[in-house]
Amino acid sequence: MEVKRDILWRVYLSYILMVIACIAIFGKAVYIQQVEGAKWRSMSDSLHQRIDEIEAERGTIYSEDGQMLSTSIPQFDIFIDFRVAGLREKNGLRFRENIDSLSFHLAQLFKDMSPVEYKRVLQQAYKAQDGYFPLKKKISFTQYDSLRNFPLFKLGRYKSGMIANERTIRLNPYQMLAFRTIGLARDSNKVGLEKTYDAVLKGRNGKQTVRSIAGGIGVPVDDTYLIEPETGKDIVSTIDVFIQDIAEAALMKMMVQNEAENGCAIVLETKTGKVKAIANLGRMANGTYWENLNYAITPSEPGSTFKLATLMALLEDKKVNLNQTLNLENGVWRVAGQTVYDSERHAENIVTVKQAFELSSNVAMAKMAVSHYSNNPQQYLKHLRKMRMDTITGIDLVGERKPVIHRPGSKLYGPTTIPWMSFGYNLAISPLHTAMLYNAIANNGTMMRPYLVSSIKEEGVLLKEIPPVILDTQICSPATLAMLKASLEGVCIAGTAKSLFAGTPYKVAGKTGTALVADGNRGYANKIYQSSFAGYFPADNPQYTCVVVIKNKPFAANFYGASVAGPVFKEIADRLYGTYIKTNKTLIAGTNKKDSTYFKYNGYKADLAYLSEKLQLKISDSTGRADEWTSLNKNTAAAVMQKMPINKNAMPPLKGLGLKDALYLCEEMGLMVQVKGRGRVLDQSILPGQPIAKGQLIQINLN
Amino acid sequence: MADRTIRRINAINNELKELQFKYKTLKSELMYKTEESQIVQLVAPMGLKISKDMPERIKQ
Repeated sequence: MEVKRDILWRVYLSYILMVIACIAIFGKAVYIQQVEGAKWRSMSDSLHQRIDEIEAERGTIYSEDGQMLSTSIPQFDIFIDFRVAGLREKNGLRFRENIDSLSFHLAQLFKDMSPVEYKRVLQQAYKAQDGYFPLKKKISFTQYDSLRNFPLFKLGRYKSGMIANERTIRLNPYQMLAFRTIGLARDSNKVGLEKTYDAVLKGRNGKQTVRSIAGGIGVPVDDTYLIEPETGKDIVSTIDVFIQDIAEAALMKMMVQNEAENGCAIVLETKTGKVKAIANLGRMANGTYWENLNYAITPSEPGSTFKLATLMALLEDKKVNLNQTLNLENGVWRVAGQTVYDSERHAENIVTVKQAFELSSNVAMAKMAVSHYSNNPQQYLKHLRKMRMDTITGIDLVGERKPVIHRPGSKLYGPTTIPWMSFGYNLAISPLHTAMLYNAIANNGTMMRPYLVSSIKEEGVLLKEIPPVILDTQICSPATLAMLKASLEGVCIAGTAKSLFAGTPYKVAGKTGTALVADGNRGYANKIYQSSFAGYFPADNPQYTCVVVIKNKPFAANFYGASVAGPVFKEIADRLYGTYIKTNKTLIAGTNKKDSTYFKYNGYKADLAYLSEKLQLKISDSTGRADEWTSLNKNTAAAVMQKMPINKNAMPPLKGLGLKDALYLCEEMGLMVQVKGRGRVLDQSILPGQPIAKGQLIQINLN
Repeated sequence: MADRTIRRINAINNELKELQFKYKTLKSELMYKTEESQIVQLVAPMGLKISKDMPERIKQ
């Protein structure tokens, strides 16, 4: 009995404990459902909901003629995860089955390794159980498109292990073309238009609450966005692809030929100041050239092209006139303890101011500047300010650096400043400044601000048009302007650019420049010359202004402005003149000669007659019946239709017949025909007029 | 039903995007290849080059 009670007591105890446990569990469940229910349910909702960032598409940069210069496109890095079960199951059956065909296709697509090599590399990575094997980086969308249809890869990520990491890059279809100016849209340190117009181009990312459904697809919770994404606007650049291509090709040719260090070529549309082309090339370590820096907006010593500014100042102040004479001192002149040299000896020493400018004499410029401005440098600097040589041009390109002009009071200002500045040393302005100044002369004294973007568009609809900006309607008096124009034209007729433009059918106005430039701390010892040419054309009705600046290699044999930068200018000018500028000089009278197009066709009369009627050909018909074989001949004004003689026992002429007609004719006579080519009959193996027999073989060639 | 429509919209959107990418890639390839300097390079072995003569216009 004792034992029985003992057992019962234990059973009751464990029963009660279990009941308590059950009640506790049930109670907790009720509590979670009823008391905390709302909290958990909302948490569940939010776990299935997420806020998706909707990336805004970046706008496209177009050229003036509507071509894409920079647009967004995806690029892919391809990896393979060799650890996925789908690939390894059944002792790697799927991998072994597909490796050969995959390697073959990969080799065919990328052409960088043979199929055998691909196979080896893949097998190695498979053996090593590489979880993130880099197969190929930076592949284009088209490559990716064929890649994902390859054997194995088409089975999808979980069976093949293929991982494609996508990212958006900016695509420049023309590659190097105006690359630096169009710019880079990288995350840090953007440059060019991509930077200047970043705010316009980038748009705004949107945000949206979505609920996840199977397949990782997000369904918008309600149809509203938290923030609506805004696609970036498109901008239309003033750059003309054709002109840019010409400028870049011409510059490249000279740079390669001369092994120059860097160079740039700018083409401005005279009336508006639109930058039609801006090419920048710099020599890379391996000797090739690339758009690595915007040399066009980087200030440097301009050299002789700057003499235009000095001459303008002197003429405006009426200090000199073009016909007064001065002494060139044999091209050597000492001033303030330093010596001014001319780059070439002169045939004559006593010349007029105009001649001195045309011959690009440093001595002449320095002498005039010293005698008229040494005691009153502010007067000279006032003119430079009027010409806007002391501030940035204001082109819509971030990163333009300020010109350097030393003024009295500055540590770098000395007695040599004014004389040297007068011929383009001791100051730094950018090639774009030079272009802007010469363009003002070309544009009858009205200075335009050079600019790169002419409008902003959204999905093809014009949002904002950016008009040309006049900086100064009259930078000098009309009298001065006329004298400057005559001097610039004189350079190309009788001066340093005389031989360059000999025989050119249009007039050019311009100025050569050759400057010895300082090379870092080595100073002028390396004999690095900067050759330049600035000018406009056609001189009697200027349409384009062009500036070419090339910095030569040390000790270059060929460094004169007229022989390095000049030919580039000329090539650009020649092509633009031929293409865009319509003058009567290139007009020739049309000839009244008869049309020399001769033809001869053979065929069935009804067909030929139908064709002639449709084509409104005038023909004179000399045939009788309507169901004849005829030949249509034209060697005079009107075509003649003649009967084609067909003899049942002799080979007819097939030349000029279409295949259908030729076959019909031959088979009618019982010939076996072999045909080569397509089109009309060119020749036949049995010559016309030869006797034929049934069943004979004939070869005909069609063109 | 709604889910299916949304999936279809997604799929079609993706297809549209891909076609746009394809267009851009092909177009840019064409643009590059038809650039004058590229053509000049390509036809140089055939002995063709840009004429140095000024073009003449014929009076109507």
